Amino acid sequence: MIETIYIESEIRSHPRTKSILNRFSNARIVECERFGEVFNPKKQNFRLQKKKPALIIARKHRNFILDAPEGFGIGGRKNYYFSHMLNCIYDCRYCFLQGMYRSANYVLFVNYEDFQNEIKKIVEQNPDDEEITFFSGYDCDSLALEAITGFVREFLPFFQKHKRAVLELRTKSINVDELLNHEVIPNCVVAYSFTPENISQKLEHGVPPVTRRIQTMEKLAEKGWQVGIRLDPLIYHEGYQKNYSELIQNIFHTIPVENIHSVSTGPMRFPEKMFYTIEQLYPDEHLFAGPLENRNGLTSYSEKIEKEMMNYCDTILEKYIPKEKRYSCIQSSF
Amino acid sequence: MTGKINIVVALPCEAKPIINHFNLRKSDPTLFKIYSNQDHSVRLIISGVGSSASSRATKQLASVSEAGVSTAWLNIGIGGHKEFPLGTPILAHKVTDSQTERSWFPQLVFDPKCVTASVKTVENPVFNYLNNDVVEMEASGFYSAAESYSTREMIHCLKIISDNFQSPADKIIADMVDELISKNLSIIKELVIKLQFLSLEEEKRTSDPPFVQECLSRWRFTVTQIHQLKRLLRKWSLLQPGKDVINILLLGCKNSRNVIQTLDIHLKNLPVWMGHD
Repeated sequence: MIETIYIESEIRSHPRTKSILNRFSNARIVECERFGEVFNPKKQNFRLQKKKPALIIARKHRNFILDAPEGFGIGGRKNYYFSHMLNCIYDCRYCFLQGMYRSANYVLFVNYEDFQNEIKKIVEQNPDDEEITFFSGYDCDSLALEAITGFVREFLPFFQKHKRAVLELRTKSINVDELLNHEVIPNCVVAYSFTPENISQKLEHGVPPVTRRIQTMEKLAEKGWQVGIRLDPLIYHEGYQKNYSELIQNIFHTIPVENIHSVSTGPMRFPEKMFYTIEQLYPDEHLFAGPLENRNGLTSYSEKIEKEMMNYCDTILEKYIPKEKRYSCIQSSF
Repeated sequence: MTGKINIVVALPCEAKPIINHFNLRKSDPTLFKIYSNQDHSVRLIISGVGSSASSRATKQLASVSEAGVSTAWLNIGIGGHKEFPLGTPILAHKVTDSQTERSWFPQLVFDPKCVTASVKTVENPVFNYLNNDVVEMEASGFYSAAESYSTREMIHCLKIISDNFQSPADKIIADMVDELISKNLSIIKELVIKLQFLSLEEEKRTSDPPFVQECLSRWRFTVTQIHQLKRLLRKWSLLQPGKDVINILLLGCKNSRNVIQTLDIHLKNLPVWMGHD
């Protein structure tokens, strides 16, 4: 699967680096000074690199934990995100990563302890009664590459010790063995992203089918894990009402409400320049031929369409789940 | 339709087998010797020895070929390594300039049918192969210049090992180089095909949608309007595939602004079916 691995010279001997190299003994190994030499240059083609992404193993030096964008939250008063990894094995056509990064190579930061120390500091700096949410699937899928990253294996015990810190694992992956084999912790939400099946087949390349994701959520819920449902982004299309209604119905007929931590909906939005980059990469994509407009520096559906979709989904959701568990994640900045 | 590839080599003895294999003829008279096949899908330039020469030649070839972002680039030449046997083809996965210590990382989005290694560009021939790099004299100049025109997935360096500890660089002669390159023509051919394939993909991605030229010939557009027009015509081709936008929608338009408005309004009201391509 991974044929080329770039490694920062400084962490060549890191235990996690060695473990990954053992796993990919036939990979081509290329040393670099800093991951940015490989990842950052402008003259790269995200679309072409998606054919054969390489892995870049690096150390993160700063900005371990960042404030979550305004409008992004699932109940916690304070919201942060952190990215142990950049880029995702899936190839969803609506994903902002396509326009955010020039390179489609995966970057894995192996110094997990530094992330954990920063999370610990934030928790200690906040009053005892405050729940603080840490979103982990912003720049990647939290679970999809678990076999390589060991992210869940390493972070669950940490969050188990720091009960006021809530970890959201946002994913489309059905690779949940680590969770099924671990003691359930109450401050972890495994949040699945969904679009209706027809949209998923068209736009979410490499992603497990909707039915498999729902089945996986069911397994997690049966074990006792809190699960989340993320209808984000909402994709406008002919028949969207019927399709989203069916999707929501399928989920709620399978997952007991008491196991659902939260449901969030969010519109599809990109900074204008980011959208332009993505549109250039995929000029024949029907998604981008939809009724999008530029508004306040963002490219999105019109306010009317956004409101219509969010309200419609909320109308369907309120039949299944109380208001206090429903959230709208409307990002006005990136 | 074939993708376009520009090949940069340093020496006539390196170029000769490639010229013969791809049926290239001399073309585009410049200070450098440039060769091309009939449809200009393969062009080759002989740069002379050294990084600066390679850089200049790459820029010259880019100009002559009107290289765009979809043009692929390949530097082919000989190089030395402490251990690799003579005649081994090596594709660079890293190119470093020994003077500046700057590095480039060609992105391998296809399966190279040969070993890959780090390539170090030096100013003068080397006789002591100190580390695991393939040493040669052109790659960094070529790469830094080619990167102005295309992206790292489409720019590559292939080096054929011509010298090692057992057979150092001072034993190299022109006939030997010709033979080393000739013996690796199948690898070169395969690499050219793969890069042309990428080039063709990129050409299709970056090409104008249908009806652009027709619109440009009927109405006068500003530069900004041309961007808007292309975007809208792309949308039209997705939502109304195969339909003649001019006859169906635009015949009555008086000017470019009218064209853009008409297209925009019409497309906004079209349903987007996500079920089919």
